[in-house]
Amino acid sequence: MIKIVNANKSIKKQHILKDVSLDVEKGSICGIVGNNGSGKTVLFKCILGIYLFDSGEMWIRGVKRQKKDGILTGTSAIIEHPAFLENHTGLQNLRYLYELNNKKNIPYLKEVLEKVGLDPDIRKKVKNYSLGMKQRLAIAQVIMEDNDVIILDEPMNGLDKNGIQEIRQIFIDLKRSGKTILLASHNEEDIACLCDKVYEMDAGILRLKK
Amino acid sequence: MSKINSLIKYAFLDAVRSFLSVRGFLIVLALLFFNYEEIYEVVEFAADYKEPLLPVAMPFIFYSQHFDLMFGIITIFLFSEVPFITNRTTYVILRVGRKRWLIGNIFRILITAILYMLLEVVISVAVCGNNVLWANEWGKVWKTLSVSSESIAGVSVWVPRNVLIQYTPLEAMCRVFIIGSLVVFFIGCLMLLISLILSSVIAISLTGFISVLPYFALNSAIIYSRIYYFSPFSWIGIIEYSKSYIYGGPDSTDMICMLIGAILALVIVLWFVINGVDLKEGKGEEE
Repeated sequence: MIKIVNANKSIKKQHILKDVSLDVEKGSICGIVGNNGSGKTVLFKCILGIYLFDSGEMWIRGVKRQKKDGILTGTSAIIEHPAFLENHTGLQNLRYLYELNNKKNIPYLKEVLEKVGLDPDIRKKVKNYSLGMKQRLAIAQVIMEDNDVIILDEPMNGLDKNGIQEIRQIFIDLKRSGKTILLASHNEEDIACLCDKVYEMDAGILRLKK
Repeated sequence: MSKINSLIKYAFLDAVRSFLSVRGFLIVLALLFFNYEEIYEVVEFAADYKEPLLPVAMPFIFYSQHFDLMFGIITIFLFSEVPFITNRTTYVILRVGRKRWLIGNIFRILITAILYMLLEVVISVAVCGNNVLWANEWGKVWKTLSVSSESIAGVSVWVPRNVLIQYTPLEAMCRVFIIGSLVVFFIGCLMLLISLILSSVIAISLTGFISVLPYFALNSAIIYSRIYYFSPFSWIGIIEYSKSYIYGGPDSTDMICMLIGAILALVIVLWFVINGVDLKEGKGEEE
């Protein structure tokens, strides 16, 4: 589903990704563990098309990606910390994103919010959300469009024990429905529970761990 | 078509949001201060002679080098978050793609430019106070100032007689509004292009240099004064130049055409460049 061969990326003369190779099968969860600053976020941004690899090759869904292809379509992601329109509610934020490509469907968006453990009728603005609530909202925007490729950068940040269990189950359900998930996490337990394959990233070098 | 509509809708909301923030508040304060600073002598002159003042001060405010300088700096501040990429906008970019995101940003810059000039119109009218004449003719105060020198009227605002002859007040306001909006739009697009190709710091520095250039060109013995016209901010106030005028500078129609041409060129370059650059985050935007 996602295949990268010998990809390199430098930013401001710093070599961030060094001959990175990655292979993620369709309908699996692939984990990447690594310290802060190891290059995970840059790798994810390159896969999504937000950044461009300097060299190397990438295939998504069996098709080789070119620079001119732009952003990777049919993908949902959480990159770095979640950020939303602070003076709007969670539902308004989801509407804003959902209606960029879809027709208005508030009942469906309310279902999505309930699925991630948020009250869809709450009038609280996002600026008053806890970190855990913002993280749940970020997961909601990932799952609401039913994309087949999902990229998650530390999705469990700020969640309590129950929240982590709920969100893990969501990811397992997504995997069962054929979604491909690429997940970065510090949490060894998340990696152990969820991932079919694990890579380790250190100073821009990616190695298969499991 | 609905995708374009949603782009325009969100561009409008983003543009409005940029004014409903601490940044917007500071911009309003700065415009109020600098507009009042330029026009208070005229207001006092009108009050002394107990004549109502037509509140069409904007064309003449832009003749002030100081105001041009500050207006340029405020414009750079207005667009200082280029290329408008944050964690939040990443969610948008993933859904709309690079080209649609670019179109949305160009609309956003255009709408911001128009709102900014509308704000300037409102403020320039407001600072004229409540002793005003609502009519589409210049009135005694502006006519007197156009024929009398500073030594007679004691007012430092320059009121070229050519402007009063060539344009009605509404025409003069419209021309300044249109040229001002196009200049601000041009600067915003230029900042976006430079921030995407190089960095937002270089974008701000370069356009900051363009905004201060007119002031230093006129006040420096070593800079060739014609360089004044290199900066588009200097064009906003030059509505009295016509092809028949002995100075031979561009008239406002020429300026509008040049600005539209320059903006189209920038948009074309942006269109071709957008798929070949990293979409690096700027600073976080205020909500």
